[in-house]
Amino acid sequence: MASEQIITEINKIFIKILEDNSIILDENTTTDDVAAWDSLNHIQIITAIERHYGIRFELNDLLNFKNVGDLCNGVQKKLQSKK
Amino acid sequence: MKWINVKENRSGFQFLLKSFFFVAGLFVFDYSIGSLLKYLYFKQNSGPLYEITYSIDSTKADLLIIGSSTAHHDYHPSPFQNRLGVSYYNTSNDGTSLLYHYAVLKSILKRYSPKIVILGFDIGEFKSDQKSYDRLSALLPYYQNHSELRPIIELRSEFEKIKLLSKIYPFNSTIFSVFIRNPYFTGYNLKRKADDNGYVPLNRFDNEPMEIDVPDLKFDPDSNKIDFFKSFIKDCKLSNVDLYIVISPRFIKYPVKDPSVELAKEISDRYNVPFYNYSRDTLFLKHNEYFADRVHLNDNGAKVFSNMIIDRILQNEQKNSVSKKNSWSADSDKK
Amino acid sequence: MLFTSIIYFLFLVSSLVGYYLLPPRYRNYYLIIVSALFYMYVKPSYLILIIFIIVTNYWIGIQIEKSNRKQKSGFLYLSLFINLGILIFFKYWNFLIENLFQLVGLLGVSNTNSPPFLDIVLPIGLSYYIFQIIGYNIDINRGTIKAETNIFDFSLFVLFFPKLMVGPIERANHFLPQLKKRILFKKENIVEGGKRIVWGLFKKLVVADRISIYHDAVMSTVNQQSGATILFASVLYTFQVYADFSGYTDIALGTARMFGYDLMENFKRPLLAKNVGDFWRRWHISLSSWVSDYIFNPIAFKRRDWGNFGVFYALIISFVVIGIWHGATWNYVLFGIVQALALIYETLTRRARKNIAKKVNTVLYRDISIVLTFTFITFSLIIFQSATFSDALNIMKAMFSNHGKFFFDDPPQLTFMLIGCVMLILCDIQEEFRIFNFSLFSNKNWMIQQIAFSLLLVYILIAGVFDGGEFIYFAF
Repeated sequence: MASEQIITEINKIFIKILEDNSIILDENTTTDDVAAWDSLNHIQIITAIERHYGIRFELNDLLNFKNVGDLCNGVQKKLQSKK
Repeated sequence: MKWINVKENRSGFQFLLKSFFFVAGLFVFDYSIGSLLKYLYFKQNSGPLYEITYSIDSTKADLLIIGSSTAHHDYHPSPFQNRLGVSYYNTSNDGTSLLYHYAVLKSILKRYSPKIVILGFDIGEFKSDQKSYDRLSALLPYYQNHSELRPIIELRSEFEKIKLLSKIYPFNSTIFSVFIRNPYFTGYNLKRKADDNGYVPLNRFDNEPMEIDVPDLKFDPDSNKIDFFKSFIKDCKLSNVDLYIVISPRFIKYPVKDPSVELAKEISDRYNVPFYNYSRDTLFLKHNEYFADRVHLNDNGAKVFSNMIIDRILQNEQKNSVSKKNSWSADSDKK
Repeated sequence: MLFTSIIYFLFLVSSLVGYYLLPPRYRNYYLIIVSALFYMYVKPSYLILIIFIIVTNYWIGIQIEKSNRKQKSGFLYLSLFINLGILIFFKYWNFLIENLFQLVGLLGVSNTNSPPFLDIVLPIGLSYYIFQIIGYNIDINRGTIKAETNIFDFSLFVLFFPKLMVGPIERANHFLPQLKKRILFKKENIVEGGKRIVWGLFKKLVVADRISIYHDAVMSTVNQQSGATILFASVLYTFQVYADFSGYTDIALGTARMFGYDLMENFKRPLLAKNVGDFWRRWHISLSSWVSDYIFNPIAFKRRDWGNFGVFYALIISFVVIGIWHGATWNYVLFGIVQALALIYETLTRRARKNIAKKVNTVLYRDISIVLTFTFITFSLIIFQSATFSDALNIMKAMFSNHGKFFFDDPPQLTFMLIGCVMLILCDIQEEFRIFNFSLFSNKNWMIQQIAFSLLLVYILIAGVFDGGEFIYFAF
């Protein structure tokens, strides 16, 4: 999948979980940039993404995601390894 | 190349200039505010800070009480004034130790010799305690004008002299007391019950255990305090002051024999100084009508206790005059 | 060596002079020696312990990086065993022994042995640098950083004296790179560092230590104090802890800055937090972010299949760790649990609170949130500062039931305390909300700034507590 598409889908997931329609993500967005995104609902976001793509992240990768870009790359890698 | 050096030199020079300006500014503020504080501090005419000044600079009373809070509340002026016919002043200051008491004595003896000094001695007086040194901060405002106090004040810390370079430091923490008690601002003597020649009467009774009631496991004496105790006695003798060392009554008996008290008695006996220990006196033990709390007498108790002390002073004076008479007659015989 | 002592000031000035007189390439070695001397001043034997910890972890870090997958965890567990072992021994031995014996007694097993209590003194700063090193090892294991191969740089990473006593708990990716750079003399470092130190001195000497006198006096006679007095003292205590810890941290950061180093921020105006979660992102940031990265996140991710319960489980463990990190009593455990419960509550009610927020005026909602959070923190701190659980309960009971006069001490003392608190909170409010356009301490005109800091120093001389000389006597 192209990374644009992934970002768009992830954006939708964020909007749904954080209940905020104004969220617009790009590769460099971090937790500091999105008001309602904290360590508590981060878990919900991750599980939602995993469920959406039918993937499961490694613990190590999860701990190393620094921004949305890393998240997308992680998704891409998982999708590719599924094939 | 040259012009980079010029720039660097200029900014280096500017930095030095700014630093100099900063230090100069600090000095100016310290000096001016310190002088103002000093002026206001010594302009007070009532309150606990004024009482210290009065004790150290002004009093010329015949009979002085020197001690901590126990002495502050336990010696009522009227019996002394009426029965002994002497002027009375109570120089005591709460929470102070022998270090402070000796300092007060030194400043007094430099100015005059009182007839009688009663030193209030507390149980555990010789214990090592950082608070005793901290509490010497009450003497800081007098450092400049009282050379006799300087060595005692410098005991506070090895860097005390450095701290005293600042003119504000001696008045640390006094600024608001000084303003509020200052007649120019409010002319009103707050919170503290009016004092009567330094004596402060207490009236409530409270049976809560107090920290000073708990004996220590081992005796860890402060050699400064013991030395000052001996010097206190010697200085009084040299200036012909009749010294009485008294331990105030207590509501509840102190559970063990206190090593400070033992040592003090031994030293007093050695120098022939009357040493009266009322801490276990049954007239006072468990008599809550005399006490404000476990270690301080109330106004009534103070009157009773003061009269008892005066009885002993009179006895003592009679004994002395008898022996003096005897020695005169011995002398006149010699003639 | 207390940060507020004259001897520290002398130490700082002399070591700075030596530092900048040396050629830049020797400066790190010099700092190692200076830091070692600093640590030895407290107690020479501490140095042996920290050298052991440095050398072992230096070696382990390199091994973790070199190893294959399986061995990696082996070395990581070894480092945890050694580091946590040392920390637990020094800090929690007596606590564990006491509770173990109590548990054994409860289970009915008869035991005539007396508990083997040891007279252990916790080496200064142990909790901080052990956590820092554990973080370092975990980071290597995760592959986020490379192991430090230069033993001197690694030693300085651990030993750097400004952060030895009260942290911050540094991170390898933040601090190690700085150690590789050449430090040149920059006057901004001296000036900015100096300003920070002065501000820290103000917070500690004028605000924290002054409130401490009053607070101690009230709490030592808590049964005789009126409820209003106890409440007032508890509120002031919140300011005291904040001023004390952040003031000391300011001195640490200011000192580091003077040497050209940038340590991480530990406080971000925590008294203005809008909810408990926000509070923990502003208070003791180096500790809470450490726990978040190395305990909360791993556990929460691992248990993400448990849904909300996974998060709650991770929260409780994380905050119990934060609690116990402070000390070996059940009170600290309770403190941690209370924080976790508050966060669980906030997670569950997030939607409801958001709805209320929409209906209410923004500023009003924000201000009420701040006050409520402050109240919660004040009550948490009552647990935190009590020696035992029953003490804490006693204090709270007394707060609501004791009658009597409101004792606020001498008006002069009260004035000092209030002025200190007001100055502190105003500065925080200004930094947070930018209410005024004009600033004294960050004013662009250097003369105004200088005068502001001069006056601040003068005020420290006037109102700071330089010893326990202030005496509150209860003349009933």
